[in-house]
Amino acid sequence: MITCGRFDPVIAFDLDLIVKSTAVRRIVAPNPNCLQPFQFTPIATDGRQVLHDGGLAELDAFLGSHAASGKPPLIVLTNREYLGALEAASLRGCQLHAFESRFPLFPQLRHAPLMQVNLATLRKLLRKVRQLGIVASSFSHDQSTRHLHRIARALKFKSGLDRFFFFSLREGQQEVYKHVEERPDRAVVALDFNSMFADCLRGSFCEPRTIRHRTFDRPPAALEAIDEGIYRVVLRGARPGFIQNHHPFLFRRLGRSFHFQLDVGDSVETLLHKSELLHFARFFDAVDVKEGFCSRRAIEHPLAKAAERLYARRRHARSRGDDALEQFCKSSLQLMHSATNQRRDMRTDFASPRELRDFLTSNYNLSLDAQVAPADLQRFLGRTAYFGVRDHANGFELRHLDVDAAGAVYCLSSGVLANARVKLLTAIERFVAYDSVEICYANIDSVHLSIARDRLDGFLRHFEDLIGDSLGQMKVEAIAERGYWFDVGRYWLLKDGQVVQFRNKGFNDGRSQDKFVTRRRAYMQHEAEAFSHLRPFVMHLENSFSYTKKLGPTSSGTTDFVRYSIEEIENSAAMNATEGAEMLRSRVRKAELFARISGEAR
Amino acid sequence: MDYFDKFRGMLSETELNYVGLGLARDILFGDYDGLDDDEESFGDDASSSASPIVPAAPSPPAVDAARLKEAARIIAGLRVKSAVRAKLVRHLMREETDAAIASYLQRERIPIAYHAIVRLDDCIEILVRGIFYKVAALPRKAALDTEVARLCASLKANEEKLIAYERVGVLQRFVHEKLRLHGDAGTVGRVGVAPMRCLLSVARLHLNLLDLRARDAGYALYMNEVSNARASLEYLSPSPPPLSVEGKRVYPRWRVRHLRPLSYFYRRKARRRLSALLTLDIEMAFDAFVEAACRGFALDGDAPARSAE
Repeated sequence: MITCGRFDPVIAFDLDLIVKSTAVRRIVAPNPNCLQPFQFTPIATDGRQVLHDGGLAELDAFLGSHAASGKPPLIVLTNREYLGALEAASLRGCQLHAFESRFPLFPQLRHAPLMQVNLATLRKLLRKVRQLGIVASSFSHDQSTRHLHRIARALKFKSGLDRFFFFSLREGQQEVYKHVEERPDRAVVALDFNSMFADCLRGSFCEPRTIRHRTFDRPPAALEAIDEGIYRVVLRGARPGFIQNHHPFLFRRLGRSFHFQLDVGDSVETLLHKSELLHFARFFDAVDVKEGFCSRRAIEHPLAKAAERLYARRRHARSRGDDALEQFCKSSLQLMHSATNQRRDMRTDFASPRELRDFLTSNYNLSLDAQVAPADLQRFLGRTAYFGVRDHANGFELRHLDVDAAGAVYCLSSGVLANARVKLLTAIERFVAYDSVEICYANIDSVHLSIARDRLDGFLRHFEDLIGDSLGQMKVEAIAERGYWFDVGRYWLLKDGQVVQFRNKGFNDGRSQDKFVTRRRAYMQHEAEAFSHLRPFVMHLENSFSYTKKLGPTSSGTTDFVRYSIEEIENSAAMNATEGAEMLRSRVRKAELFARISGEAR
Repeated sequence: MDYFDKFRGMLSETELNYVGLGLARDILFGDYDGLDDDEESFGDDASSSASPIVPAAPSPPAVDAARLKEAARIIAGLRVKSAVRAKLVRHLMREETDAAIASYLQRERIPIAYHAIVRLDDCIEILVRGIFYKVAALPRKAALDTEVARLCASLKANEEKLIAYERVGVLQRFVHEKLRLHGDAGTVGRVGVAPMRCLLSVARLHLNLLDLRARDAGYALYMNEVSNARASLEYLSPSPPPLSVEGKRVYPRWRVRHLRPLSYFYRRKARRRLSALLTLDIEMAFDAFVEAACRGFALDGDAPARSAE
């Protein structure tokens, strides 16, 4: 049996902890009307001089006097200005912000060579931001606060058991199935859901206040009749077909995760929402429901109506050509489902590594026996965003996610994401059943397919119900002749030798003319009480490739990515060895392919 | 110094450059003279005492799988055997220096943030600028920046072949003089003991590293020996402490620890990995060579893993 847990192949809930967590608690959310309205001192700078309300000044002298005056923090228009002045500002103890990253609502924003232009744009856009009703000092903070407050007003209370829904919280389906598709008789279709998450807010959710823990001595009479919630299930006996290479379960060990091949007859133990359970049950011979956190009462998502209104507003804004408002609605919609899982950290002290391990084992479903070397544990704690550890005078201090945070309602967030996975997988299953369709790429709300060219028209007609402009339907982003996928968020689709659609996460920021950027200058800030320094370093595309699937053999114009078998990744050592071997084997092939296509299509 | 010639043919050019770090020489000639911290030497002793029990041809030595993957990451894409080896050796040397830096900083009780800048070329400039502008809040003047740059250049060039400890003394006098000159009455008082201590300590480490890296090996060895000799001398006959400041305690041999060269802080752990890499047979087939090199890089020196078998 293969166990797919949150961080490790362990799903075990401590009964003591469950009993302790049953109390009902208030959901605490700050009132957006009490937010401090943002205040900034707008400036423009070229790294040596500063243009501000009082005129032109030397950067350092200005920063010195600004720090002494106690005026509101500084803000510049672009990241470029920000990087140019960051070191100087930090030497003088001034706070500096970049408008571009605090309020990412203006994709057309450009850096101008003249400081006067930048400052004028900055003032204009700050007014625009106020007009849009943003009060807090960053867009995401403002919107998340509003969404969470609305939810807290609607629900008021949650059960402490909500903490266990954290273990079922994970991203939508992200996987690269194909590396190369360049067969001459094929077309590549890129499809994208319209506001996927807004659509996934619809449907019923488990009521957070009345969550209870249930164990099952015998299987529930009918799966359809079980309550909304999450269940620890064993899916017994995988049936041959779609599920073997398309199931979304991830095998995880110390936070590293892999898709894997499911052999016929294999069993999987995992944590599923009701919607997922109903979807996957038919791919397996039997389903054992072991225990669950569920509620008799199902509710609508408190933001479902607001999401529909916001989506309508977005379409209206688009039809009027109001880019800022359209972007505002789009970004706000994206923040809706995550408002209920905003990260709150806690710090706990431990006197010995033993205590630290016990704490992690009992609270976070980790399996940290003596086999796990201290170095491995340290790597894990350093790699995930949820944890961090540092030494101090008498032991360790662990920074860890506070799953009991009063502002978290994991059952909503995790339910939305489960809906999103089911929705995408259902679509994929329908697509691959169609004649000649092969799946190439899936990333949360987008799917790329390869199809025989003469079947394309029939395909689009056949899926008329899925393709359209309304919420929950998909739109055709591009139809290309060839496609090259390297990673999630790194692909190029070509037609007539030209790139028709691409993403190059982390390297192309959307402004560069070159669609195949391979080098990026990044900065790291080093700071202590007595110095600060901004150090540039260069990121290379070839070093960014991931190796969580292996490259299949090349056959006449197409290459697949193949999932590892479970034996290849069964423990940490095997994962490392497999991945290392794959790096040695396929890095050169990937780099050569990239060099070829970028040479052709530049 | 003609020991460079002994290496010709054995090492690639890149490796020769890194011989300056002092490790490769120790490994090849076996005259490693660094001291280990207790934990390290305990581990090594345990493994050597365990070896008679293990049969003469033991199962292949334990490797750390995470390091194996790291090795693959480092060399994936290379197609020349000597380049594979050179790159892995360079990484090992770098790691070892990193570990030495970390243990030095820990001993000197310096905040971890300093670790990131010790190796930067303009480390001393960054720190001095920090003291002048961030701590003492002096007004920024181009002339002062130029003076700092000039001083740093001369510290690096080191025409007079002063050891790091002496050069840091020069730096200290410079900083105090400029603070008095450009600041107001309270400036010197504003700069507390802690930032100055960190500055001087990190600058000393930085210069030590520079001595090992930037020059020919003869220079590095000379500096190493002079520093060691000075440390022993200081230990045997401590020089009289400078006029003690009111309320500050005086430790007669305190200076000894600051006179130590960096090699004092090297660990023994890297030796097995390095010698495994350096003694690889370059005539092997490419794939076998790569595999052996990765295994060498990932050798796990921990004794318990082996005795558990």
